[in-house]
Amino acid sequence: MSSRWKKVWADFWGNKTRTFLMILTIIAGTFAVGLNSNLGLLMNRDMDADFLSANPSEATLYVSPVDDDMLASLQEIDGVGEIEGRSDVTAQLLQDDGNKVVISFDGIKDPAELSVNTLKPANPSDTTLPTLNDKEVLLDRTAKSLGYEIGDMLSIELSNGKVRELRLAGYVHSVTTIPYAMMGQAQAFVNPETLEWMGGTADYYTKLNLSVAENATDQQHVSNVTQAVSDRFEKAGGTTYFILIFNPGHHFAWDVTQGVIVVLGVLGWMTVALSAFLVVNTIVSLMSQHSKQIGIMKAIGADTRQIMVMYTTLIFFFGVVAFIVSVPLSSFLGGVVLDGMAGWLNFDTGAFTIFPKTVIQQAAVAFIIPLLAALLPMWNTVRITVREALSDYGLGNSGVKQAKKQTKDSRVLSRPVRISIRNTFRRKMRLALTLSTLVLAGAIFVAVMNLFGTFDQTMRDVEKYFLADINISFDRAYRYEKVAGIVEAVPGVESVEGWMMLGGEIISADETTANELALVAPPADSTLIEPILTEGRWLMPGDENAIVIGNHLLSVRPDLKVGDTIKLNILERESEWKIVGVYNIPGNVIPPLVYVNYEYVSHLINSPGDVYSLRIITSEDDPAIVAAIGQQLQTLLDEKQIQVSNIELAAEWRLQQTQQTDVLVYFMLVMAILTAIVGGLGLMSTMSINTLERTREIGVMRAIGASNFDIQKIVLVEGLFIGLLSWTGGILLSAPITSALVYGVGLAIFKTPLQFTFGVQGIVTWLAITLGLAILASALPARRASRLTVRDTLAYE
Amino acid sequence: MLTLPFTKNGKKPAESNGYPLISLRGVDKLYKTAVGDFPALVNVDLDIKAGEFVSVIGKSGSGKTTLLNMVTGIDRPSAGEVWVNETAVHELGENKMARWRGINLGIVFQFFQLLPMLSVIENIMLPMDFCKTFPKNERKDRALALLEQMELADHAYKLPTALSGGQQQRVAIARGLANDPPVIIADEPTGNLDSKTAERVFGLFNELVAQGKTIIIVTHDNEMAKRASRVALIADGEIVSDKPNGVKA
Repeated sequence: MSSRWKKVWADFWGNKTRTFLMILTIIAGTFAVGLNSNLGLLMNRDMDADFLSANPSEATLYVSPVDDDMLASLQEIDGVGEIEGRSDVTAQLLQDDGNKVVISFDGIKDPAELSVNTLKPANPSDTTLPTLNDKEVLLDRTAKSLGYEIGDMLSIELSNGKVRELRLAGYVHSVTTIPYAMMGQAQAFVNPETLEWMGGTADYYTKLNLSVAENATDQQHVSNVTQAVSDRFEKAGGTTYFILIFNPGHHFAWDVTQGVIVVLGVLGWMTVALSAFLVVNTIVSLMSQHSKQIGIMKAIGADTRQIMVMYTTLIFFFGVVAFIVSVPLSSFLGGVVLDGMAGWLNFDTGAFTIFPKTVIQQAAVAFIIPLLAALLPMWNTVRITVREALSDYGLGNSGVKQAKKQTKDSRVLSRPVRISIRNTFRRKMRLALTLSTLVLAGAIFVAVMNLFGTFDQTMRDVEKYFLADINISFDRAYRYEKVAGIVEAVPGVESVEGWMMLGGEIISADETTANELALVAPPADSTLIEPILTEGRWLMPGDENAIVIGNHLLSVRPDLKVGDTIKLNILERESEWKIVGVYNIPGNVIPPLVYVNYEYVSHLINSPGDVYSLRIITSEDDPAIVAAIGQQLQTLLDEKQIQVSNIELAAEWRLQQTQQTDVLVYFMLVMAILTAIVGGLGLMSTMSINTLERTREIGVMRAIGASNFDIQKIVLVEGLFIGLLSWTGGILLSAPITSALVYGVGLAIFKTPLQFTFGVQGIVTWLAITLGLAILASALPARRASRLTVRDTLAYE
Repeated sequence: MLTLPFTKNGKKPAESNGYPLISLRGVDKLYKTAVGDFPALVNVDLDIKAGEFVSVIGKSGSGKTTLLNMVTGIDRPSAGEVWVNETAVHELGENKMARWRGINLGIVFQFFQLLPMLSVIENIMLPMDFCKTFPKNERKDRALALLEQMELADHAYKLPTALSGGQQQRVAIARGLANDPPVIIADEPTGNLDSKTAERVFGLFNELVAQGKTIIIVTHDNEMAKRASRVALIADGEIVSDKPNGVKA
């Protein structure tokens, strides 16, 4: 190896701290891009691959009983790929601790012979599915968290209060089922005979799973084929109660994950930008330290090109190490995160793969971006003349311009503090780069914290529609006086409201099409709903055919507005309603909800005084106490033989919802912390360079009496001052980033832009982090500076 | 007696043919400062023939280093011409200048300016690597031979910081000789050395002159300057005296 390459190697290996910081900086960007790219590619590959391998249905029709002949007839309709009938029963799983879990049973003849929404072994390495005999049950594997072992007997309470014992024959993987942890409802499979024994039907189907022959992801096409099936069925005398089409052709979490991948991708590239800033800063300092060496090399015959190639190679070395570390690390962690996501979203993962696309991106980030970032500072320095490089007698100006006027004495700040503040601004380009890194890091961090706050606010907005502490749903209508009387007798129950919920359709003006919707009917004087109105007004006592529609209905019927009269089909009876208001609720609501007065609609369907659910306010807010009250209510209603389909606690609902958004926030927080680390590295690098550059000044200050503490204070205060400047800038920049993040994530996850929330928590947390980073980043250079002797510093070359 | 190893193409260093090897004609150098233009050199004429050993002396700020910088091309004249070995130095571009300088001049600095991350022998090989003046497989042997001449072969693989000031300066001289340049330029080469070591360095220079090298040194030490064959006194940017040694100004 020639001596010039030995110099390059010595520059690389000789200053291990600088090399480590430089490589770490490049790793941050390369790793972030690699992790996000790997995760995105793995998710897109595995989630849909597993989903599509189950021949998923794009639509589900809930219908009056269908026999095999009718099913065969529906199969012949143009556009239908496969149509499979199933009967189902919803019951409650009685757990040993007294809790009840909603469980839905699908009747299937043979788990291995399904044509739509097929089942797979719970363990991907198994090749056969468990068999299903009489009085046996298969559970979807996401319900494993309930703790049942194969062979255990499951106690199932039917809606009529009877209890059936089923043996757990095994777990299966039903990729088309929404996981238990998300739905709060377990999915189970029994054979038709067992389903009949549990109150279902073995000879007919009540649910049709429809898979279209082509264009599975085309919502309109799926909707048309489904409507054709429904029309044929109704023409033959059947009734379609409800049609469910959700994100056809894709896993249920597809949209959400696409949004998350995009947002994480943006954050990843922001980390690359930060990393590039830091590379510039480090290279500027490296070149500044090496300017004398460059001068000497030029003096002994090196030309600019030769020196440029040497430093380019050095940068390339940094990139090589960062690349070698980042590629396996991001692949490995991508796999780990994918496994976590797969467990959470219920899909099987494929073989471990290193994606060429990711590797190319990482190569670009590791090799090209640092080179591009370093090019200008390198070029500027290698062009230095020998005279400029070697003429540094005295203390130099180190960025201090000729004073135009005498600086005024400050009565507020001590002289050392003023030195720190002046030092901050001596190298303006370096300061700008350091501030850019820290400001961007801070802005991302605060924006992610704001997103956290926005999710919280969104949950609170959603909760405004469900203000009760406990919601009890019944399998059939009950007289309000009867069930309210039972419930009010339980200690801790403060107030009760009886609500009604009905399925219906909104008929188009030309009466050719109809859209599914659900009518929610609270009492006119309800205190358990605080809607967010975007137009018009809420329901008032005395309103008769008044209706308040929401953003979800408007997305399918954008022509509707306040003052319009619409025609609804409720329980096969048409009625006219006047739109008095429009509300907004975030999230996916299928079918769209509309609100009407309980008093009017209950008369309309000839069921005045009947309710389908009770909404209860308790006197205590403690979730444990509310859960205990829920337990008592369950026991009491069971004793009175009231058929409860579900008791839902507000706290549990909130936990389920936040679990979904928390994963996203934690991901983003990881990215934000990564940017904070890069920002901290930037500050540390700047402080080290600043201190090194001022070694002689430090020597002079020591010679005229500065103590260790004085020197350390000057360096620390400078670091803190830079930190505080960046904190201010970070807060300002976080506003547009928060706005973009909230908008993008809102559309991706909640299907609606979320309300911009700017919280204090993020600002204060980032202040603490900034000050901590500044102290950490300055402490080492400060200590180093204070340990220099006068002789060392003044002899410094 | 110092004998130079592996001289280029087997040629001896340039011999005097009556024409000056180094020639400065009407050289001015003005530095712009906050308080106005400062004339560092004023209308300097200087001819140095091959094989001469010239000391440039003068007070601090008199223009000694600026004069050397004109010869080495480290700085450019505001007016006038600088010729070295038939090359118009004042017309060379920065890149050509570097390569030309590496081949034609050996520069020795007051603070040695060895690259701290390279071993002694690597420091000496570096100019050969840059200028490719010797085949790759000869460079190490040449560097070792130069170190032997400097009586430093035992220190070849040490880092410069492990050497004394005098030793480092001899390494710097060896580096200056690496490309076998006809001219050695030294700026205060003994300024950082004790008198005994300085004596030894001057001894080396004398031996190099005897081998046919042309040497210009800047020094503030009048006694040392008298060891050169010619002494030029510079004051306020002008050469006020330029005489062979032993002739009183």
